[in-house]
Amino acid sequence: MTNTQLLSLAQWCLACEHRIVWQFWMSILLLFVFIIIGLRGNAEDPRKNYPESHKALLGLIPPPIPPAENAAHVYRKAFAAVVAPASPTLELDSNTSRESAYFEKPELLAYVDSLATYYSLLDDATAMPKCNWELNYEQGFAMTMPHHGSMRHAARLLAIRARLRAHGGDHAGAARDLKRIESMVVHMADERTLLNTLVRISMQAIRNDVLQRIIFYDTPIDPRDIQAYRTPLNTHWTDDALKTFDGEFTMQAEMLDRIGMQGDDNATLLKGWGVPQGAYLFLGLMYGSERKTQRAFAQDVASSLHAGNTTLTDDEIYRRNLKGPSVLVYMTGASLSHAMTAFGRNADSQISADTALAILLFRAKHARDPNSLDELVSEFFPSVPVDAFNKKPLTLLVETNELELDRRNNSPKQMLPAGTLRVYSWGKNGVDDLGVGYRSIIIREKQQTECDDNAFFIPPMKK
Amino acid sequence: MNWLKKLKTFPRHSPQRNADASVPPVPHMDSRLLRWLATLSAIETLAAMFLYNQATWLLLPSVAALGVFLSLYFSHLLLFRMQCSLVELFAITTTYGIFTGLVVSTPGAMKIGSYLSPMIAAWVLYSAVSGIANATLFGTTTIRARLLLMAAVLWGNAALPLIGLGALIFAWLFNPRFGMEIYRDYAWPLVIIGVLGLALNAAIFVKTRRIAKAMLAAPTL
Repeated sequence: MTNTQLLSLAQWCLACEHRIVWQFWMSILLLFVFIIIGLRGNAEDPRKNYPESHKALLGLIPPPIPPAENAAHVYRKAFAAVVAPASPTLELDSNTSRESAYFEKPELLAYVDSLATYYSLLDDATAMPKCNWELNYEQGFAMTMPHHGSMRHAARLLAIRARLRAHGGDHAGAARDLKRIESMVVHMADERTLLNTLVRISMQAIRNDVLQRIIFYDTPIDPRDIQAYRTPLNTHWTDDALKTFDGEFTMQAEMLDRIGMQGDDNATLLKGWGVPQGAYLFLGLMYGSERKTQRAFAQDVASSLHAGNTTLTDDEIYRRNLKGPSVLVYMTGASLSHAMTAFGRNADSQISADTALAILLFRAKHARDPNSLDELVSEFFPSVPVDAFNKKPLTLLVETNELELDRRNNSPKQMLPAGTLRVYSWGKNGVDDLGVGYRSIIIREKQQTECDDNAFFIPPMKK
Repeated sequence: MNWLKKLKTFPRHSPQRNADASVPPVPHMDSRLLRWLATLSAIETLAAMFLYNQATWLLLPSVAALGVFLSLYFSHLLLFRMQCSLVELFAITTTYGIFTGLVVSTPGAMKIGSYLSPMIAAWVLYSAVSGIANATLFGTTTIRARLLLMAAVLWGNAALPLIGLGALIFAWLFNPRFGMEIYRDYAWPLVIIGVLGLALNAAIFVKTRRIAKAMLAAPTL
């Protein structure tokens, strides 16, 4: 090397303006290089996993139904025929649970009359045995389910009509409307996403709530009417949960594979989640551990449910299945404990409602209220009904004092008379909270956050 | 073309040399144009990575251009200016091949790995040039010493990412939901390796700087 070249080299070694800039981004990008090398041992190829996961996803598609036999087409016609109420005070979200006087309002009667075509189509649809919503499962996790809102709305409108009919003394008609809500729930049962199941649960909650109101405000007396309200109980709700979680995990696995492949088609989905756009490219880095965690997670949930463990804790089940960094699994995974609580509470609510109806039947037959639920055994149940979570027997409580109803919608002050019956399950915590917790009828009583009994009220017998 | 001549030369560091108009200015060792092109291209590539979802087509040409500019810049330095030996060239190629191969052959990381490969090239080639430059300034002539200096600079340049990775594992350990528990044992070694690399690089840099300044300050070599 010549002297001039040596001097050039010395100059080059001292020049650092570009080096500072380069060191900055080279460090950032080398960090990703080292992350990839570090995670290499856990890596999986999404392109190899995708065909299988996509096939499993397509396996969730319900069997096709000829258009003439598909209730979904009739539902859609009904949804198109719905008219909005003329008055905003007829807003349905909170009015299905109003006191009976509300159901004598002329504008409400006129509104229900204006829905004759809608109700007729709903009656036809709910009478059909098969339903396929023809959803596009190819969209994976981004699949749209536009019928959910309309189905919930339809359940509310049927609930309104049931209340009107019950208030008018037509309990058989009201019971048919509640059974139609059940039919709608069954018509949605083939879609195995968690969102779909939660909508079904919310529709059953509408049904249970309306049944509570009917029993409370327009109590049926005739045993045939009471019997008409009874529906077979879903005692295998954990199977329903298992089926739903299986569908949810299948969709999640396919979605992780799509993200792992870094295809352009998931950009919209990621944007919808609020993932910063610059992070799209790097989301696939942890794919291997994400997929392993997801697999272990799904298997663990299935085996826990099979073993009868209905009190899953998200953190506990998540942590014991972690196979490395799994941010996406955590981000996109459903809150299983909350979902299980929703499943169990819905089942509890149905058990409480059915027990309340059995008490009404007992009352109609013996002209008195049972002293305990043991009196219902053999005549109405093979044994005392038990709750969904802990299989503990339900409890019957007779209110010795008046209770004040919580006032909503500017409704006048109302009191539950002494002698009101409260049948309740002990809820997820398995502790007798004296019937305080979840119930349609809100009582002004001391409510503690840990109380989670599921209560159903029955007005006292009229002398 | 006076401006071009000015561009091609460095201001002299020593006041004595500056004062002496008879001493010709020190020419640049590297191609300044290529250096600027590579730097701008790197900035543009980084931007393209973070705008990936809006302009997918932009990234591939950006990465390719960066790769070309880096290759030209460093091959000019290594082959023409420094006349690196075949063994050194072999070591450089092997190191680059190992790291790029590891990244690109990681299942699921092929795409991002190929986008990151110019950055691996920048790291390996810059470390090689810097290592050889240091060796030359130190007067080291044996192949083994030159290779060791190249490896030391390579290690030093990876120090910040290694410390960052260790810190990232520590940070994520605070949230057990992130599942970094299985990497817990790697955190301290990564930080220690990074700090040692940084210290080694600093020591080499201080020595190089001292020698380079002395060379430029000397009236004659």
